[in-house]
Amino acid sequence: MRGAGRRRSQRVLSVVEPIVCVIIALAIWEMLVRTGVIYRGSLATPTDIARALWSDIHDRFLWTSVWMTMKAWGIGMGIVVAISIPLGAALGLSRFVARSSFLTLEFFRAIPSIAALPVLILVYGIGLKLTVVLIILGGVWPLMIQTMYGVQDVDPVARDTARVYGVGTLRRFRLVVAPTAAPYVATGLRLSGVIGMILAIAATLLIGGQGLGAAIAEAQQTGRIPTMFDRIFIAGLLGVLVTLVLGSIETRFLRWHTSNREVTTT
Amino acid sequence: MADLSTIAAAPVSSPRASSGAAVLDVRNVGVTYGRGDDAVEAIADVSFTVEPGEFLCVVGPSGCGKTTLLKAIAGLLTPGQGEVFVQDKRVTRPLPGLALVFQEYTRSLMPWLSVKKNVTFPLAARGLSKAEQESSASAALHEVGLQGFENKYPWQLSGGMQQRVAIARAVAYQPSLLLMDEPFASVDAQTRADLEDLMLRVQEDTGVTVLFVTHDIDEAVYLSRRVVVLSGRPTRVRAELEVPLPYPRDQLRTRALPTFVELRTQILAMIQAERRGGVQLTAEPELRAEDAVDA
Repeated sequence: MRGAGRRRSQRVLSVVEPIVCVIIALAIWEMLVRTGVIYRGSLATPTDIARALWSDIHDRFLWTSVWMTMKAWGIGMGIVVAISIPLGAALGLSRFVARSSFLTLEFFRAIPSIAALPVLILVYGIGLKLTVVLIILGGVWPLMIQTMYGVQDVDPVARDTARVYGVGTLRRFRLVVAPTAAPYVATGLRLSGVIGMILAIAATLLIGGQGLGAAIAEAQQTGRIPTMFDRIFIAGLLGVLVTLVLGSIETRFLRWHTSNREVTTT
Repeated sequence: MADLSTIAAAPVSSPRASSGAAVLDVRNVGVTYGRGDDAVEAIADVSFTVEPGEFLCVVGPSGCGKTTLLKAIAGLLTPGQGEVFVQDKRVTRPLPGLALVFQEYTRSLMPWLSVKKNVTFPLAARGLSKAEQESSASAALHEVGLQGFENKYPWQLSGGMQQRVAIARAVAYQPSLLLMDEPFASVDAQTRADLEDLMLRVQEDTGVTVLFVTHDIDEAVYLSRRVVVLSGRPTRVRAELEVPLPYPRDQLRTRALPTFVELRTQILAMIQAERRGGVQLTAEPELRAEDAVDA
């Protein structure tokens, strides 16, 4: 009973502690700006930002921007998954494929996708297509590499077991290879998802068009600093949302994995 | 005991059906790793046979290529010399009808599959219907005393129980030959004794032909009808011994029998001689036998 009580109070504390910390940080921030230590024109106070956020969320413009960013991210990630998982699996399964494409892949991976922006603008113009292409160029790598490692990580004993018992190739892939790779794929998906979201926002921030990035730039150019900050805050929330959604999918599908096991008796 | 009659009566798998011909025939198998100057001769020349319904143990000094030999038999490795025949078929790749229980149960069981799924997952390859797979799996789980654990995951079970799942999987598969690679080497002594008795019972109930590889001489003598003793590297067959111990075997009584003590001492002497380089091979056994009886 006592242990359960302590556990509960620990859980409450683990929620309360960070909240208190945030409140203190916000209070210090508010004071520094109000007392003029920091120039109010470049850094708004938290209360200003909260007020701006309140009016911003009643503005259609914000939601259209958020929607365009989410849309670009969704389409981009869909294509990333469709490219990275089969390609990563092929790289992991075939030593020939891995060896022959290694150099090409490493070269393209080394190019920051933002660096390709001038070329992409020429090819795709400014708009949703450009953002999607940018997300794909940056997002394919973590998922592809993780999938490759995952597929390669099949335990030799598990593989031999399946082979000796005459389990066919397709079934072996479904019951042995795919579950082995799944945790790696989940990690890759989270990495790619966050990179994709960063690029989705960066694209319109740098080159305009419609999106959350463009909305941030617009607030900055029109001198509405608190609005700019509230939109940056929303960009942060989108990143957190991506991590949370992908993380919850991961724990649901990988219940058997060491990191998710609830009961372990040895 | 549940429906084990179905297991024993399966036409292909029943060792009694093909009585006469050896289930396994290992002929002059040699395995060399590497090439040229770096070549290591793991197995020089090993030959032996396993008869239907037999429980044969292979013992040898550590590092004598026992696992390599098993891999060659299972078709996971092609030997450089010699041939392996399972039911008169030459092994060049894993042949249907073979089951293998590894030492590393945590790695040979799939953590993402339930206990029942772990047992049934190779059964589709045996051409069994869903219903037959289910009944075969539950009979096998019953045989190893794991009824009621079907929907648990392997990692929710103790080490001994996990290895029993692996045994159940092998039994449900109704193999013509069951290969076991040091299956009880990583469980505690008490569990080990339990699993040894379980294997004796399973073998009696199902009549499955077992080739059991171990480095534990006592275990080899206790379990088998015949023991093949391997030499150190490069490996040859050092001796083949009949084990005339009565059935049913018992952890206390069997192990106290003079025949048991003599046999284990004789084998131990051989293996110790092998480890020292195997010079005075013939004089050693008698000497060692006396030492052990005194103690």
